[in-house]
Amino acid sequence: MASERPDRPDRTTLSDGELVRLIRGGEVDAFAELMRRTQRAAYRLARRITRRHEDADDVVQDAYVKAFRALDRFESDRPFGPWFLTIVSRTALTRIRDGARRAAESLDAPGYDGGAPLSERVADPGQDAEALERRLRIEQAMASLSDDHRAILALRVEGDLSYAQIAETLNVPVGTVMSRLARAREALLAALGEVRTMEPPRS
Amino acid sequence: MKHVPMQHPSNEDLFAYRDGELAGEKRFLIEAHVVSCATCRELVDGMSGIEADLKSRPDQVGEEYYARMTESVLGKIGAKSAAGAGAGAKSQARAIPTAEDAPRVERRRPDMEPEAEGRRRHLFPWFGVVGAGAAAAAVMVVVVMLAQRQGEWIRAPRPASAPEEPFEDRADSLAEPPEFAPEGPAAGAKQKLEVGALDNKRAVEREEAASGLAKENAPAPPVLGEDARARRSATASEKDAAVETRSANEELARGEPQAMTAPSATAAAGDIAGGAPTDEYAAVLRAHGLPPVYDPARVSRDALLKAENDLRYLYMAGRAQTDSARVRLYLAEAARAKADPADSAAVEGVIHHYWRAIRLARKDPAVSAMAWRRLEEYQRETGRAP
Repeated sequence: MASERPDRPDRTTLSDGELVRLIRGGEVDAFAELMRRTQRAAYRLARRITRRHEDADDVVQDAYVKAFRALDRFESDRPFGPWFLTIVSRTALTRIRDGARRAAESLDAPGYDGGAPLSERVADPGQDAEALERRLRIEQAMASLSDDHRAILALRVEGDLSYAQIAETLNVPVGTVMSRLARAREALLAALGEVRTMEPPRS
Repeated sequence: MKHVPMQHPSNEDLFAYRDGELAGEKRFLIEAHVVSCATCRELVDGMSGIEADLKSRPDQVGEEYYARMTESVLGKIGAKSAAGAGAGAKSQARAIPTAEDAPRVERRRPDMEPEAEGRRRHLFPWFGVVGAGAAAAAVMVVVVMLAQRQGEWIRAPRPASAPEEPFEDRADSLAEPPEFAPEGPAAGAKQKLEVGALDNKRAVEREEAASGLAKENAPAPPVLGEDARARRSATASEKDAAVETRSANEELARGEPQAMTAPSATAAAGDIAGGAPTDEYAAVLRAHGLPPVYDPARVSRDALLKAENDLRYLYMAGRAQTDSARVRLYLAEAARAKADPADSAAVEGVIHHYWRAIRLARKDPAVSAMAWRRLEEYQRETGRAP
């Protein structure tokens, strides 16, 4: 947050690789700029997988510490974001599998810091009631999926990761990613009551 | 749409197409279908709409939260003191044990950058009002593009009014380009149907295997042509690779998160001649407990058939790359395991697979030797002259 920490030099124009080289060279606070670039996507991904703010918060912070410690292994000619998101998703998956699993937050629960609940936040001004209802139904359907299905959809939709990156994250072959993702999407459609079976062609 | 010229592709293929994950012929074929099939277009469009809604879910935290998180993390990694004292990240990284979950840098293909994917997805903004005539025209355009792309490999395309054929068989009507291709034309329709019927079961099995539920593949008796010499010929390095593969599988079976080491460094550490397998191929090998090069003494029929879909995906999607010959040899063996020796079309299909593997294995003597040996055995078994 360069804007909130005026004592920190402005590094917004540096590339990810340049920032990593600075950090390796001892300017550890350059990590703040890498965080600024990735924390929104990281939090959204973690929140999707864990479904709770406290878990997502822990996961993202843990993931940053892990990424920092593993910077030696990061090839600085690559973008930091996708690499970091795979750490986030692994940390989040470990967390939901380690018994930290709790019920999803209700869409009507107060938001973080007592803010507006999600059911209000999804309402864009000017959006009609039908569209709002649809968005809420989609959120509910997503929250109702199994951990595996929700996680792989989150990796694809929130993380915007390629099949190869998802395969690496989940440690499964790309073919498995392809089939699991299809099953997850089918489950989401089923939860929305929009089941579509592929009928045989009519002759 | 009064006429849909082929069966609907699987949902896997449709979604992979939408995600920009298909390459080569397969992509063209799915695209041709989606253009002309309202049902599939509706499915793909519907999913796109849902995902757009998910992606546009408003943030539940704000800038203040991120600012606090930044300070908290910087505190944990020692940036505040480091900023003044100059303690290097590198020395800290050595002092603290390396994070388990940190992956090695992924070796993505340059065209798989997320931005590029996004752009590609937007190339086909979902055919809102394609009429029947436009759809037919689009199919023709795609066929013409394929013909131009493939030159002498392509056979005469079927007219749109030709009898309907299963989608996979449509794929088969294209002969192979040099590096990757749909399955060989000689593989019969009957065999294809079997494959389709098994798909769901295999998908479940693959998921189980991948999530560590499946047991490690015990060294089962060889299926085809038991050959004691083959056991002796397994090189020491391949044995090492097998040990590595087993230990990776055990780790998976315990459900422990694996550090992201390069699969090529584990699953196929000792591989020879053709170089280390690519990461994706190595991941498939590891998931199914297979050696880098097919060996009848070390691969059970069961393991072979379970791995077949994953291997075929690598091949069809053009991801087999430098492992094309090895993947093709595995596919030959899978076809052989399923082929009825009395069905001459199926037998020819298997032989065709072996020839492809041999041609692709020009720089990979281990694969070439194995493919020759297996081909000769098979020709003798089926009463054909070697």
